[in-house]
Amino acid sequence: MADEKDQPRKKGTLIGVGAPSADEIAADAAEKAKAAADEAKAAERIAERAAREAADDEKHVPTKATAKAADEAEDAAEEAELDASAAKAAAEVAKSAAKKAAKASFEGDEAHAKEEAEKAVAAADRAKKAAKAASDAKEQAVAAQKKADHARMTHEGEGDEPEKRPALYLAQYETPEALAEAAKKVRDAGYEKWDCHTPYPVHGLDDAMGLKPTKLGFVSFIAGMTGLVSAVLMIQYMNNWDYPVIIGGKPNGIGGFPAMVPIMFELTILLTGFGTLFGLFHFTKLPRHHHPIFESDRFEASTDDKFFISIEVGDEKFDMKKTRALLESTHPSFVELVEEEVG
Amino acid sequence: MSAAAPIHEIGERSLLPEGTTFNDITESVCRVTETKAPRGWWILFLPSLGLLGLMVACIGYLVTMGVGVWGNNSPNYWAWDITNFVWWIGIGHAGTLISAILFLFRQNWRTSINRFAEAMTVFAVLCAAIFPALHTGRPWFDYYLFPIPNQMAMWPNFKSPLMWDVFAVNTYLTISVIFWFVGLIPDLATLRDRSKSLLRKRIYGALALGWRGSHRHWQHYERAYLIFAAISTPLVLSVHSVVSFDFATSVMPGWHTTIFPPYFVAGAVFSGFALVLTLMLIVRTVFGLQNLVTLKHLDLMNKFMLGTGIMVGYAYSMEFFIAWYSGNPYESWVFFHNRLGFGYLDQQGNWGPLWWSYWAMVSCNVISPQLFWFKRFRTSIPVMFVITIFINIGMWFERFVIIVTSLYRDFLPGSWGSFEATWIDICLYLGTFGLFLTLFLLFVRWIPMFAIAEIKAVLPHAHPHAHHDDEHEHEPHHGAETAPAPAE
Repeated sequence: MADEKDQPRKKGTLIGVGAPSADEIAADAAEKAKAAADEAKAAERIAERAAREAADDEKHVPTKATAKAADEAEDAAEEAELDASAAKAAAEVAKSAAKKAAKASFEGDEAHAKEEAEKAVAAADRAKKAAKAASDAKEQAVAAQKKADHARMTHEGEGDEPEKRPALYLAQYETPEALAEAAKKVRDAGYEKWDCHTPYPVHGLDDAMGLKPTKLGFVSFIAGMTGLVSAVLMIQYMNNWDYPVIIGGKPNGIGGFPAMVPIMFELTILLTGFGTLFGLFHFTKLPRHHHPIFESDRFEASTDDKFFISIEVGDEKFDMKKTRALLESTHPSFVELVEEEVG
Repeated sequence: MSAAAPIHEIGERSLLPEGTTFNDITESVCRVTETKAPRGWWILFLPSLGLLGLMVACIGYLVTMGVGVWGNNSPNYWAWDITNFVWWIGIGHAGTLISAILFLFRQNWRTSINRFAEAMTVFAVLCAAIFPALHTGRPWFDYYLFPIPNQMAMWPNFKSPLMWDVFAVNTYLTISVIFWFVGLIPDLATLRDRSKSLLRKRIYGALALGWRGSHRHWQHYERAYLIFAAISTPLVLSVHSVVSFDFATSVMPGWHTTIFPPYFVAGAVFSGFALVLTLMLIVRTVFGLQNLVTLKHLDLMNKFMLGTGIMVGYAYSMEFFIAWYSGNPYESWVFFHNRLGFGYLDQQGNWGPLWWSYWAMVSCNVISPQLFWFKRFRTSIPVMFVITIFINIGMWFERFVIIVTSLYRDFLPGSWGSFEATWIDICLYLGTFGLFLTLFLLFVRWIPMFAIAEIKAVLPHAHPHAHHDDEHEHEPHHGAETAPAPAE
């Protein structure tokens, strides 16, 4: 308090100049606040556009980069808005402080005037800072928007790490013996959605995996019988009912049966073949060109000389830790978590 | 894809050299499609392409001018066209026999040749189909052959053996293509997974149907394969039987014979093996695949040819026996005068003018394979190459003999004639070689020509086996005991 005189004088000088200019300070702060609000509004608009475009893109070309850029733009806009309201509030404070300072000064209450003037200056400073922050935020939003645009235009983002979720565990084995042993363990652990992948059909895996016998033969048989019956009906319809053809006195009905045999036979074979082919497609759900397992580079060896077990996340018993532990207990060369892209 | 271990008690050895790994097989088969074509391939491919052009030109000429440009004329309404048809169909039979019948008999050595032979089946049947399609005279009306409604409101006559042929050949082609393609799926996946370029990955990937070697798939796949083998076996026997019905159900001496169906089937297999071997010897050398098709494979194929060669020899002699034993003078005339050129002379005291074709057939088909009784010749590549060529020629002559020498001098001396091939007969036949070889060379270049998955499955260490400990097995048996390889 010793230098109380000095201080106010110093400030006083300032206030002396400043007190009349309290209004100016307030006006300045208000201007800053208004600018900050404008910036914030612009940032918000830009961010909104970026977000909308990113959302559109995600429908067509989902890239991580566009989504990220859009998020950034949005964040920047939010920041700008916050800063802008802070600037407004500060400007408000500065205004009222300046008014009070002017009033106090008018009333001759130097001390109070000084106090209020200080408050006004501080508030104006805050408003100034907030406005600058809002402006920065707007710039950020613009940059983020540009980035999002760029990512969208060039799909450069494809090179980025896309967002992924776990799809399956893949364990590799070097020999069919190791695979069969491991398969038994996985079977006994009660998994359902799992599979062995081998370069050729390994014998004994049916049992090791606990697979039921295939029903393909049934499908083929039905198809074959369809062929047989349709051959008889076709020949009878065409050569006996619709337009009887009598050649060499040979009977058309059941008496002409021997002449029907070759075509009955061929159509049986033909439809059995188709039945087997489409039955195979039905049971194996092929053709299916996309499968998360192909995300693994190691899996390429499955058609060469390596043996794999995959356990899918969709299995009821799947557990990130327990399943991995189970697979690791089967002496694989390694265990890999294969992830698939989201979306 | 059956149990792989050789039975040492009866002297069997592993099919492939000791220590062949799965990766060795992948490498040696896939390498062919991934590296530049060797010069030998181009040397074969360009002339083949030229012959294909010749075929297209001949067909264009023939369709424009009519079938009169062939040498067919009274009394030989069937000649080279049907000869070529039967010959090509017969070539195809080896493929199905190898892929289906040898599969059912668990002949594991087939795995090195089945893909190859199946491809030949498909291409040979395509070549065969050209001839009857053109022989109809107006090939644009060939749809009359199928039971589809047409403007005449008439249906095909299902009592005709030619109609049976339409069904048999089309079924055969369809089933062969399906069987071949299903067998290819895992190997196309192998090529897909090895692809470096995006284009290759896309094409092989699309063809592989997303195959991922899943055992749940293999289980259905193996059953499908078994079913295909099981239906192809009677199918292949039926196809050449039906082809022989074209002749056997007629009343022509020389054709009207009950021995025809088995005789035709044996001949088909005989000629098919011969052509498979001819091409195999070339491809094996051009692409350096001696490790996959070993002398042991060639030896076994030669034994097959010896066996089927003896069967056709038996059929030839049995025809003569029946001709004599039946006491039917027309039958004897065809066999002794028209074919053998011995015993029956015409009024001028001459032999039938085409006697030489019969003797060409006998020397090629019956005499030349007798060399295969000796292991020295069965394992000599030059010898077997020459003999397979002889057999191919001989089997063509067999069909020529059956068709032309039965027709050219029949019941009425007034309607006798002879047969001379025209240039278009010859060029069209050569042209079908162009089609066949072009397709075949494209196949060896772009599609795995050995069944990679199947060969792997017959390696000694391919399957976990607890049931026998064999001193010849070198592979570790219990994977759980093998040290896991370090992760990358």
